[in-house]
Amino acid sequence: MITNRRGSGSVYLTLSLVLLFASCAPQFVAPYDPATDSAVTNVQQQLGTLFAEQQRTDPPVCDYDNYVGFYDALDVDLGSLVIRNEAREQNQLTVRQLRLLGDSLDNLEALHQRSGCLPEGQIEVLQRQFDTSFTAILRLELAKRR
Amino acid sequence: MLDTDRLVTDLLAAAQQILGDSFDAVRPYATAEFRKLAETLVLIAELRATGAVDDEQARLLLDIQKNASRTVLLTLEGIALLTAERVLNAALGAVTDTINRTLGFELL
Repeated sequence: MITNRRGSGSVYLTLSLVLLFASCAPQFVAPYDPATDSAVTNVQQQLGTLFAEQQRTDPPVCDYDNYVGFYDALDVDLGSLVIRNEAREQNQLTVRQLRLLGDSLDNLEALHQRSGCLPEGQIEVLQRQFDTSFTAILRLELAKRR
Repeated sequence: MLDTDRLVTDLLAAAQQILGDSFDAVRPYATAEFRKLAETLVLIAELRATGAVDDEQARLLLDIQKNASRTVLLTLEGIALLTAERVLNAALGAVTDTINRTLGFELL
């Protein structure tokens, strides 16, 4: 009798769990967000333009002083993107990625400021590094499409 | 001289340790990205060795490199979570079918 009660308890517990999970399929990661996809691509394009300009122009055109507004605008764009993503549930991985990107953009600005214009050797490294970061962020965002 | 192959092997081993069984799902992406990261690290070392960048510039480039590496690891973590989610939902789907069949009507 005691065994039967235990058996019934297990069945009810299993059914309850199944009902609970079946009623709402568990999601460990936020859903895909097209606005984030588009905004990250936009930031990537802005950086692509910066690198292209640095490669084809000479001082004083490529000097950091002419790019202060560019970095400010990039900072604002990324700030908005971080806020948007912080508001999404189960989205800490993307938020952390965007913060790392912001940190890298600060480092890029410091490098530009210190170098005056970005030399070819540095641009090659920077393009590879930012390509890796943008690809990783977009790859995760696209993987959220279920 | 930095050994690119050795760097890639070390990075893959570290990722595999963190992700466990989920690592297989991301192995091709991880291998390609770790190779790019290792090659870039070699380029930074060359820039410093030839004096093309000073210590501070090299430090800034390395910081960006670390951030890029962490970003890749976060993507691997996310893809592993999404894989686990798919497995769990598939398992729940299978249980649902079994229960509905057993009961003879669509309870779930």
